[in-house]
Amino acid sequence: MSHWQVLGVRSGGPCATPLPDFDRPTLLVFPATAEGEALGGATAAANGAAVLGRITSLTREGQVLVASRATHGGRVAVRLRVARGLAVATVNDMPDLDGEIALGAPADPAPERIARADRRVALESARIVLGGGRGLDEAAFAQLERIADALGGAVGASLPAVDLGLAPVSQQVGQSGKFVTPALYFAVGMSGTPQHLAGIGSATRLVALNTDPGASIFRVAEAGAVADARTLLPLVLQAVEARLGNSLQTPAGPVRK
Amino acid sequence: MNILVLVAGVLDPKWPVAPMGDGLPERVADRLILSPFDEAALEIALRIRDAQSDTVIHAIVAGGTEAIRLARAVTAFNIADVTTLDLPAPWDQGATARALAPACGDADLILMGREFGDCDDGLVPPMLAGLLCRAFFGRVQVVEAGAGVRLMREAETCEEWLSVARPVVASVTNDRRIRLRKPLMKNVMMARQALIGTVTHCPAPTDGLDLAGVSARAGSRAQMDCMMFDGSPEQQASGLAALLVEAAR
Repeated sequence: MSHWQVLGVRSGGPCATPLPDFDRPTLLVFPATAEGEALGGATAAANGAAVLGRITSLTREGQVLVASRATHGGRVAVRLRVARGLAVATVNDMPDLDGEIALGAPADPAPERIARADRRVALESARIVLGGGRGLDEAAFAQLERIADALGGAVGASLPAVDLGLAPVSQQVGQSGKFVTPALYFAVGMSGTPQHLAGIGSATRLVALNTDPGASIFRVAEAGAVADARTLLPLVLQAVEARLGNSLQTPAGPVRK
Repeated sequence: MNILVLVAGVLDPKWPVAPMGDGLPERVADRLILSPFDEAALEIALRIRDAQSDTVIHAIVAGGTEAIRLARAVTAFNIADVTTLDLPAPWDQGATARALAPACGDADLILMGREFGDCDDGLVPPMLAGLLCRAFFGRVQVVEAGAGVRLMREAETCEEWLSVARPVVASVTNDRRIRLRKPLMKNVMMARQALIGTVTHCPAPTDGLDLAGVSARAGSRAQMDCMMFDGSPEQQASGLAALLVEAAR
């Protein structure tokens, strides 16, 4: 057994929590959210930890921990090796853990919080973003909004969709729009241009829906479906609501790679 | 207000990048540009100076001689004190924060991009704040400057506003409301002659992290075999919904 232990960190509330004394080299893994990054960075500073960053893979090679992550906007991958002490990392999806600890952090100074008029989760902090492209119409964008509401996610849009007036510019994701790092990005009715993908964190999982089986988005998505979004989105909404409501579920269809 | 802007610079994404031997891609001067996050941090500093005439802005640009051209571009925003700071191991976010910390001085407000350069994914700013024992406010989108300074970020379903009343490190994300202005041509001309200083620093203690390898990726995202949902529309929808709900939990 490797002597490294990998512990997931969850928020422990607003009271500062000192780290316990670990009797072996320890990697603390924080969720790749704004809060997780803030807590991870503060923990690294306070404890002299090595910083692995937002890792995409993790292996234990004997006494050494090896992690990979993307740099240069996802165009380069680096492998980092750490042999001892304490290390911190952030992840979109938790790896196999040896345990979990809670760490608190005071919100100091505490900001003033004002509810937004639209009450919708901000693109910047959403765990799921549903991105619409020019393959959609207004009704399909409305469906995306409903699915996002059900999931507690946010709706983004490609530049062509914004240009068509299907979404406001504040929802534009991409090189000339916002940069988002959700756990999952559902790309609907868009081809997946490099300019749009530049606005999505390289560790974000992509799922795609497009009528064109040759669309380049399918080359970078981990899962997808070829279908007309206007037909499928209402069914996706029903299925999401059914799953969230623990209703009887329709079995997922056959998959192919 | 005394503001320090930390500028990372990134390799222009319009050009291909490739590892240089076993190391990171070379930071070539004429391909080094401000990242969207650098630009947003700079614009927030400029807006505070617009509103408060006694504001002084300093800037540190990461890099050695290759960063001087970028430093001049920052100087062109009428920022008199711009220096460069060579980072010993840019791939090590902890080392980057430790190299920046001694150079930060006594600024009331330290502004930097949400991701500090090509090799950071968001941990350098909060770690820097921790090393400096200052408050951290991340992913700022808007500034409101008048008699005081307030920074805003959107979080979940609310806006969070922070009044800058004591020293803070703030990371800034790009937002259409804080697009970087164009510099005045006379300032661009003056910046060409400006003296760009260099911050020297002592090597930070190592944290036991090594660079084990660098490899190129085909594009901004790794290509993969897409798992396609076939079957009836209901079955396709069910498969997609399962992934969405799983990720939302």
